Amino acid sequence: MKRFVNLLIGMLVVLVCFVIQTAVLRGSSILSFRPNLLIIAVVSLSLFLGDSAGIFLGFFAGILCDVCFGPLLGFHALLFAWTGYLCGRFTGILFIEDLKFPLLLIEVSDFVYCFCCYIFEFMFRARMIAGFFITNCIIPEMVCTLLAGVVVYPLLSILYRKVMREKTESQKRQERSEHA
Amino acid sequence: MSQGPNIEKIDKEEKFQIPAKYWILFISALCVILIVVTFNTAALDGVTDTGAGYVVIPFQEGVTAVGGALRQHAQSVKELRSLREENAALRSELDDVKSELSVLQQQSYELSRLQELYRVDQQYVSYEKTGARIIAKDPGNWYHTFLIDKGSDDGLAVDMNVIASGGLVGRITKTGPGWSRVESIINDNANVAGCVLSTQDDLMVSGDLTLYSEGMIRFSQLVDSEGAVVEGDKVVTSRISDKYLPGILIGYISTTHRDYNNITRSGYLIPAVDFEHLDTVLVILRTKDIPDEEETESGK
Repeated sequence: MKRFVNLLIGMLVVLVCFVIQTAVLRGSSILSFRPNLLIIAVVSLSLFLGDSAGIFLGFFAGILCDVCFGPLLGFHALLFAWTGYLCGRFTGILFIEDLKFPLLLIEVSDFVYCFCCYIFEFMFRARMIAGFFITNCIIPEMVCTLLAGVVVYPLLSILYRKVMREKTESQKRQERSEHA
Repeated sequence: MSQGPNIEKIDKEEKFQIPAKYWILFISALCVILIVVTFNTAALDGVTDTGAGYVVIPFQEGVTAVGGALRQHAQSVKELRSLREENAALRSELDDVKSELSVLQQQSYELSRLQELYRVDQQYVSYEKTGARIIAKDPGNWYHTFLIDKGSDDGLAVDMNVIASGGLVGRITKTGPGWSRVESIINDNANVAGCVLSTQDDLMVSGDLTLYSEGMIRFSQLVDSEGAVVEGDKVVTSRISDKYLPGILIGYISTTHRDYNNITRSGYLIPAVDFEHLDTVLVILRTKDIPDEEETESGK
């Protein structure tokens, strides 16, 4: 039951990030690039909730993108589902409060996602602009995503700790002894 | 006090679960099937359009409306002081403008006579149009597709041209009940058949990601042996385009150079529309009817 509720909360977070990224942030363009909030949300949530939840949330995020924007249904879904799966494999081997490793994971996922988009959108049409694309599109987006991740990831980890995390044995024993 | 790694899973009554690796294989297969199906057919378009219409579009429209209302409120508070002075100045200006208007009306009659003389076809200014607001841009940073808040319920259909402030923005590629997706001409895989207004030479205008930071798009296949096309010439949509109505301003020629084959010219074009600051657009409620011809994937 708790897993189902966690998934619903995760879906809500993904939906909010999607709306913020497409509707709210299109006006603000300091560097004329926007951070990829969806990557941050999918990577963070799969780090907290595990690889199965990561697959599902990634698929949901990708379907949102594809239905509204993508040329093909299933393209972003595939990318985000694999991102959720691979990042979810890291669950359980890191401190939730630690910032460096999740941010590193977010940056790597963002790079891989952007590069896959480049491959399928440009390379398959023989537009070989990899060097230009990396320096002018991917790097600025990674910088923006990093800055946004510094803000968003701690918020999500607080949400996870307060709402979604199951209590450990020691905490349950503590609560039982307090009530007794 | 920071907790240790979260490896204690308590749920003793947990039922048997399918391991994640089978889920990822299943999801990957499903995605590949979806990609193939949507690439080859339009079978799933109805489902996804209404689904998006219910789930996401209301949020985006709501956020855009709230943002717009807040911005307007802030602006009105700022402008209140200067409005009274402006009012007096405007009244006197109005009288001057009224007399200018009658002169311009005379000139417009003369213009329509001259147009008939040169047999210029119906300009796009007289097509029926409807306004729409942009509610979302694509989440990536380079597709340059966006969503508008009118759809098939408002009479919009796929392939209708979208313009803004007198220049071509793009065309509708997908419609839902209350929303539509517009692909702009600066998109890297967009192609528009254009022609130079002064010499009536045809050319092909393409979007280009590498050029957009310089504010330009490229053109190619211009057959102009006398070199009559110069910098600043207007480029409009051509009659031979099968998706775009003729005569819509695309942009202005910036540079040209001869191709290696010595027959055609290519170069760069500055688009007439400022794509960085688009907010509202106009949709022309007429599609170009080409009988007995298959639609190509990129609008030509």
